[in-house]
Amino acid sequence: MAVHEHHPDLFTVEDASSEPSTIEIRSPAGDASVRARWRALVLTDPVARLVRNAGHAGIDDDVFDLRQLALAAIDVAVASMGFARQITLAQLVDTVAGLARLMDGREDSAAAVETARWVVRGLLNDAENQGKFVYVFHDIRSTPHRREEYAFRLLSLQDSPSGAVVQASPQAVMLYLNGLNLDVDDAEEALSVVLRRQLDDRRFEAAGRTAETAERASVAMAATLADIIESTRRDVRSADWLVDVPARLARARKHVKARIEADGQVIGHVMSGIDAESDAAVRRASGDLVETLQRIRDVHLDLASRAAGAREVLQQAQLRQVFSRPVRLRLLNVERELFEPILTMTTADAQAVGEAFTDRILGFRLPRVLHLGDLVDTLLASTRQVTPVGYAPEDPGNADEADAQAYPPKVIAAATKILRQAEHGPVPLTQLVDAATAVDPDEVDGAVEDLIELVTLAALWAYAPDLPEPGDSPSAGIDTLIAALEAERTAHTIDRPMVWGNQLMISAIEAAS
Amino acid sequence: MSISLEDVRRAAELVTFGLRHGARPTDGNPYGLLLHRYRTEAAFSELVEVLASGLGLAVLGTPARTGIVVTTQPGSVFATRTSDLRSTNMGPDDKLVAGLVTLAIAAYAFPHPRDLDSTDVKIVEVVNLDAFIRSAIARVAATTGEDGNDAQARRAADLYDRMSAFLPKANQAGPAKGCTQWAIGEVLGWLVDRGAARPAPTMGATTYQLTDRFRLLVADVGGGEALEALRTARRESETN
Repeated sequence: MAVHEHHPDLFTVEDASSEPSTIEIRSPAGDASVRARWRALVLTDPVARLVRNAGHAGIDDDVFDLRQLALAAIDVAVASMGFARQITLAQLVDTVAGLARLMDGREDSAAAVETARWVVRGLLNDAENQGKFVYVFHDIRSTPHRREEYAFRLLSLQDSPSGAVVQASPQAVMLYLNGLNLDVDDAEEALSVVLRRQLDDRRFEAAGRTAETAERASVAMAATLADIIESTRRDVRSADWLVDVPARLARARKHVKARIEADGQVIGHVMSGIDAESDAAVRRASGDLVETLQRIRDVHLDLASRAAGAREVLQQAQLRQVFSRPVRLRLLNVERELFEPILTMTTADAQAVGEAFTDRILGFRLPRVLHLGDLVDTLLASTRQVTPVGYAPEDPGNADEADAQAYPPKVIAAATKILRQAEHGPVPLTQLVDAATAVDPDEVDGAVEDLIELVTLAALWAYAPDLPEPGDSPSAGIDTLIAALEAERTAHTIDRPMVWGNQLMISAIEAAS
Repeated sequence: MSISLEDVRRAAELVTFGLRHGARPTDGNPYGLLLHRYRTEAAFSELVEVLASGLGLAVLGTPARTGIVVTTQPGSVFATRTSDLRSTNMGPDDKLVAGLVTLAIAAYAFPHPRDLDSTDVKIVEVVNLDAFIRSAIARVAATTGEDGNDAQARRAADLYDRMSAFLPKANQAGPAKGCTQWAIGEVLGWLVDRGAARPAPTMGATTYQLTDRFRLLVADVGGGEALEALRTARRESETN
């Protein structure tokens, strides 16, 4: 009997369950920050994942530096945050594609765009319906051991009238700022917590938040002023420079003056706190706050310059536009001024012009508003069923009864008798009609005219017979007889009270045999 | 707060902004100011809702970026009719399939009730949607609801299953009428026309972004067994 000897290998671990646990925390500092560092680590995993899977999407990682493109995408998204008009998804893809083109010596534009899409999709977690990235942290230092889910986004999309705008999450901002070892979930909260804990003066946080609120107001003011200035350049009458715009400018100047002073004070306070502070984390956090405050001050300075230069724009526009040709009311030459120019435009431009023109000439149109439930109900509605009309079927009556429209049997018998004359040789229609006229009225119950009519119709049928339908079988009696007749037109005429016209010669059809 | 005629005029202006899909609220413009007032003055918001109700409309929400989102009440003159949709020559089967696709888009984008609370934008793509609907057909067909829509959704699923995913057009790119990818493209086109979606050509020729308006519209849908079956299928596909 062979005995299999077990050789321990490198990964064989002795059963130590009977021994007391010897796990000790060797580095309190490491233990304290392991969760944060783990989170910082997993924040990079989506980028690693999109690089890893790029081959499956036909993207050559050797040609395109996907990591750099991912960082660039986050950079661009972060850079646009805080402005009135954030970057849209389309702009982000275009920007990243532009960078990708620089990496690709082949100048393959399609490949660059596809790569940019891949990178942005990866950062949006498109594979999971743009949901959060979820990772599980095993907390082995807690009792009992726990598993914590850590969910985050890097980029997310928010709706806006100009399209989906891209927002970088706090985590992406932290990634962009490259490893600030604080609470990565919320940079603002992290700053305030560190400041609250480490600095004596808690007004730093309030000052920072006030400054951010002021920044939003400043950005909005700057955007509004930019709109006014731009429209003034086009047409000085577009804005109310008598009352409204001067009031806005005064408000902007007042806001900027107050904020620039406050920004300076807050920055000074934080800077002095940094100088006096020995804690590196607080120093870094305070430094970040200073950076934020300096950015805010730039926004305020930008607003100040817009407000200062606004009146100059008005004056220049006035000088330029005073000599402009006045707008005159006149009739539109549709062919030369609309139709022909449209033909030379691109489809998109032509559509815009065409729709604007159509909107004007059509006048009032009721806007349609979507109700999803009603739409689904309408689409899924059963097809309208035609309700059967309740009618009483016509009673066919007794089939044995004589057909009201049929000729009386006596008339048929008399007509048959007359028509049989043609079996012996050709006879003119005149002869048949005369024979019918000469019949004793008693023989046909007085229906002599019916007899004449029937004989005439039989002759006409023989002249131009209806071709029998397949499956029809001639009925017995006069039908069979008539079917066996043929008629030819002659050069003579017939002139009788009920029948006139070309004379017909009636004869029997010769047997095919 | 006493309501003046000027307030009524302002409220009507805000409702009018809701009827214009292109209107954009910002911090300083009239739309933004009215929106701010709607959010901060209870009396004004009530006035807007009453006025909207009188017009046969209902206010669904006021996301900051989108503005006021309104939908119709039953019998509203603003209600979208099938004749307003761009494909007016649809047969009964086409309509059924379009109804199923509409439900499927809602389920695909918002499989969980909590998704309807998030303002995150959803991106959908025609081919992926088609694959999802095909994977969910068995589940829809297995529903037993006797409600008219559920029974019709089962018919629609059967029709969908028998249709080709893609039929080429004769002389140009894109799916031809009669295939399911065409049907999905049509429904997404309707949503674009109504401000509930936008084409996202930079992400792909048949990629669309669903707007906040669509999210609020989906949240307003009563649901049904078919929609729930589609949502379940979507949730399962997410976990697999």
